[in-house]
Amino acid sequence: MSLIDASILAVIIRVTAPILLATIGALFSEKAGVPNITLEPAMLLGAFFGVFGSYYTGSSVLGAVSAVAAGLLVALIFALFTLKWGGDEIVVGVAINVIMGGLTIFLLKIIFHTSGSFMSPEIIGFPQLDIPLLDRIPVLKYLFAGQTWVVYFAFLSVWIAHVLLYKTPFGMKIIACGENPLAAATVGVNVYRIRLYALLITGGLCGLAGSQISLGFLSMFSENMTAGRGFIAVAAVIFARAVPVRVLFISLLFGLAEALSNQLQLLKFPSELVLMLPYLLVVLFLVIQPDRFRWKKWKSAGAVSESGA
Amino acid sequence: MAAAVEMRNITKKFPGVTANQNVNFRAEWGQIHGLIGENGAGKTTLMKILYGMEQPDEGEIFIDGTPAVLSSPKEAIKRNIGMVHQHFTLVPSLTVAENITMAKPTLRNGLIDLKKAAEIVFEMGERFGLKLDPYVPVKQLPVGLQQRVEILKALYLGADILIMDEPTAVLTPQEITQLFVTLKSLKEQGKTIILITHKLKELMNATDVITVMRSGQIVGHMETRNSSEEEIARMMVGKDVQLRIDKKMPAFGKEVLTLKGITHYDKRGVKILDGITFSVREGEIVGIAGVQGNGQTELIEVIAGLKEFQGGELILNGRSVSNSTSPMQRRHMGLGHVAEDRQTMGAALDASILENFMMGGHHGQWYRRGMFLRYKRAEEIAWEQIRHFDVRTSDIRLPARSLSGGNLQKLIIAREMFLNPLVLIAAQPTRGVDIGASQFIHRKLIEMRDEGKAVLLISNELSEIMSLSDRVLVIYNGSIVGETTPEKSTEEEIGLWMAGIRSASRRTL
Amino acid sequence: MNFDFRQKPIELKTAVIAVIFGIVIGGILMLVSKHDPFKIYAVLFNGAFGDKFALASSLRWTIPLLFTGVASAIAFRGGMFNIGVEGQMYLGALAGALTGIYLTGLSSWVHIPLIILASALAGMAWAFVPALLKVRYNASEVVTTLMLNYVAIYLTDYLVKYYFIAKGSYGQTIITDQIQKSARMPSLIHATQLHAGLLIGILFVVLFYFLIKKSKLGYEISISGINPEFARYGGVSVNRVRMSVMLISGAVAGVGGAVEVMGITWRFMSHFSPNFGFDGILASLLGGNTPIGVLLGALFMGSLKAGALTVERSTDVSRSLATIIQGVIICFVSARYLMARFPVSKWLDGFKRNNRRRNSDEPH
Repeated sequence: MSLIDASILAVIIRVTAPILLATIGALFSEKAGVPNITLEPAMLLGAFFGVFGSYYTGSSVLGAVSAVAAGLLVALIFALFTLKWGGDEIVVGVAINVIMGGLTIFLLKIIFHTSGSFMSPEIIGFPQLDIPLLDRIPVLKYLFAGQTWVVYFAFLSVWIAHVLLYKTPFGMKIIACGENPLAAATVGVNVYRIRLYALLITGGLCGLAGSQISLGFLSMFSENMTAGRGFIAVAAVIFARAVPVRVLFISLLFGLAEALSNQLQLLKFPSELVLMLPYLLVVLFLVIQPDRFRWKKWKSAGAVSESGA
Repeated sequence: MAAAVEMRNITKKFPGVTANQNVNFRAEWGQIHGLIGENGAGKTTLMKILYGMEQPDEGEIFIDGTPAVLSSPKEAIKRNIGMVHQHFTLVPSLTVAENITMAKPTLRNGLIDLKKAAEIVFEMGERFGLKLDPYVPVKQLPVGLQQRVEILKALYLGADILIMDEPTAVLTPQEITQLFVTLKSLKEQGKTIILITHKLKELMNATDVITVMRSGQIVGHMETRNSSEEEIARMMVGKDVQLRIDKKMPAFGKEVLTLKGITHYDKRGVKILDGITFSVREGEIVGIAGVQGNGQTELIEVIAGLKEFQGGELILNGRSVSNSTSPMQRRHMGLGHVAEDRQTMGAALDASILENFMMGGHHGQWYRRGMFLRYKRAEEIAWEQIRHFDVRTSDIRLPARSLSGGNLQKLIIAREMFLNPLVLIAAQPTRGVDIGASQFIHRKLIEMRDEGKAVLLISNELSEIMSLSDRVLVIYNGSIVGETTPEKSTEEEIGLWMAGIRSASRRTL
Repeated sequence: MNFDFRQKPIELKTAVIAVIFGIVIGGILMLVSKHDPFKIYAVLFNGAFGDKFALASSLRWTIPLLFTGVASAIAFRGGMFNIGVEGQMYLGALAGALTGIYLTGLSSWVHIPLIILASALAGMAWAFVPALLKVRYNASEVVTTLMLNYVAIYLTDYLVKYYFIAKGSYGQTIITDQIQKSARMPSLIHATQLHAGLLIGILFVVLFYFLIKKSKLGYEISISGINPEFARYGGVSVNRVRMSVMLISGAVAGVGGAVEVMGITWRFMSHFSPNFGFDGILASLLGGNTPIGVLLGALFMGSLKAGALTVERSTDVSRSLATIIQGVIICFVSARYLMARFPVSKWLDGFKRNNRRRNSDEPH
């Protein structure tokens, strides 16, 4: 088997989808001015509940629904401890990572009475869709055959996010909350509520992303199966400066890295070196293009002008 | 006809201070109403109450004769009250049109209709004489135009009563003139404008009616044309402005701090400091007067080593200082610095009072042994200084947050003076500090001068500059536009220089 | 995203209340999974404190947390969030193991310090790049160290698998040879896993105390963490401080990894750390990033771990429950608005105030 043939396109698109969804989700938290590192646990819990929902209802769609619900739950908990009760976003974020890591193992034990991973023929994965006509085009056909609806939704979400953020009042309020919360407040925007909504969107999308991981190719759940993708999404959204179109390209880049690492593993490359790729990529980004990571103060009102107090 | 605004018996207390005490305020329609007072007089609080950002403890408000409960800005907006704040409340990356229409966006099919918003901006621009390009992101506009966006924002929401909080603090003279033209035109359309300011000049030029506040109460109310600056100044301060503090005869020594042609550009490439040249001698207090925002902050930071200068020469105690000379090194060379913002730079509020005192001194040998610090000794020294400087506290292990503003400032002065610098930069040393502590701090600065040290005083309060300085320099737009002494010039003349108006008898270095 | 971390003091009552919340929520989870919380907590308590072996177990699990806790605390005090302690630990463990295997003919008194040195350098090296990126470019150390955690695990696996694999193993289990006898930590209590690494851990806590409370660098670290602008204005090189704390933090974490190798595993093993890094971070947060706090926090987390293991052995409740409880506790510790509402503070504050008044002679 050659190293790269066109079929890798299918893999790239498939593995990009969860990262893309999570990063688009992260977009909203970032724009709203909330540092959010609960993407990983939201995805993980979403992956678990995707399997849970699908197993118990026999429907992969309901699996997706429960995955989204799980993501929303994580977001709610995060919002509760930070927005409402004043916790530090990073500390609470780390804690929630720890909690959900443990919770998935705990639930795995008490619900499915197993550990490590759970597989069963009763878990209905997402159906693989072939788009008629488009799946005959040479080369590009790999983009349109065998993908799940979540994958297509992931790419669609880029456009939805763009419209939502830049063309609706809601999006404008989110941007205001992130850049100048005081400005938003004086115009009557409930900053707290807008940030809550933004966090919920993030959580929901990450939950869905998690379901793609557990139901989108293999139908199973294993401990820590999200493998840090949530954190890659954090880095990606910062790097893309929270612009939806840029997010698309950065996510594709990471998807490419992951697909390549899969391919290289099949070719007996040392799997460890290859698995490192996406994470090193993030650090590499930081080394090469460091000025992307200049932080703005997100809590202070800050005058727009340079002069003056 | 009913008054536009009537506030009766308004009282508002904050922990430790009464911001408004039984205030009765009244503004008529079609009037530009000036509200003046020193820092802390209560004028901003009063207007915040009017705009619903604060709730009065007691009192009532009537808008156009009908009672109003202004529980939030939203309520105030509903009653056609608008406010333009001192610090702009704009969203930098959004366009002018989006910022203006943000509270009530123009929609089409649920999505923002930018074209309609732009049309509104054009139309309003014509109507009020406030032209703006609706499609430009706000962050690209100069300050004067940003303020225009703020005004249009308020007008868009239907403001008939417009409160402007220190609007000229960040404007150039041309922009200020333009602003007053705009305000006059709005007045002629029947609107009421309440202008909060502490600038006498503008007050006299732009307003029809003046209300003077002091220490939370209204102390004067008159028509502008019937009054004079002296009368108002007297009401603001409460006594005939007593200027001089007793100083010894000047005995100036050698130059300790010298700037030659210092130039500084900010991150965007804007020239903030333009060829600053002056020096401070031993035994001398040099005061730099100016409106906030003319480069004072950057000047201080450049001297202290917190920002770089791109041109010119800086000489400290005879030795040349380069950009790579760190703040610590400059302190070793004899520089002291009382930061202008005690909350962000001057102190670490969550650290203990003791730890705050030790900053800077921990490099020296007073309580240090090699790699270690002897806290017991530091405590002894700290207590000595704290008593000496009358900082009121029961326990120096408490966080600095527990100190009142005046005491915190005294602590900072104590710290800097303990380090015995040769030249001390005192930036806004009595900002937000009560009278008693202020006088104490002034006396300490004079003591320093009398002992032969050099003091560079930078303050927005001209009276402070006048009463302390041996020499007065005026900074405007990043350059020194005038030099004089308190004996040779009056506050009025200096005020003109501060406003960028050059008098015939201007003297530069 | 702004990851500015400002140090704020934590009170004892906050930790106590948070622990109570954690225990309650843990109990709820137990109920949901049809277990009797009281019984489970009893087993937990016994597993941690019940007898000599339980206590030894609690202390055994405390040891690694002393290192990662101190490492985290130092970084926190300097205003840096070093999530990378896990990865630094792995590098330290590998470096320590290799030094332990391939240096022969040394006495323990020489060998063990050498291993400590090697692991400290390895951990320091792993923390260097994130530190540099932060200081030069203000790149979030949260993101960089987190990524390097994953890289560390894969990297050490790779190095062992391809270069240092144990004789007789065929790459199935990724382990190295055993370290020399001279590199092994003596046991403190016979027939338990409690080893002399505990003493080294306590030593590091003491060193941390002297660093923070008595040294000039410690003062600069503290102030830089609370208000870096103020520190800079006062002449402190905040960049130098940040670099220092990250390097020290990495070094301590690295030593922690080596101690685990010297005391328990006697070789490098893939995935040897059941989240020691994160647990150390949590222990430090729980203890308010102070020396005594880290000590108590580590003890708490270690005991919880020992108890949870016993619970897992004798019931069918997974040990991950302890993890969940720990995370919940930290959430509550951080929730300042909620904590401010508890009146317990009045009693405690009054107690503290009386203590302070004795120390000052200024009436107020």
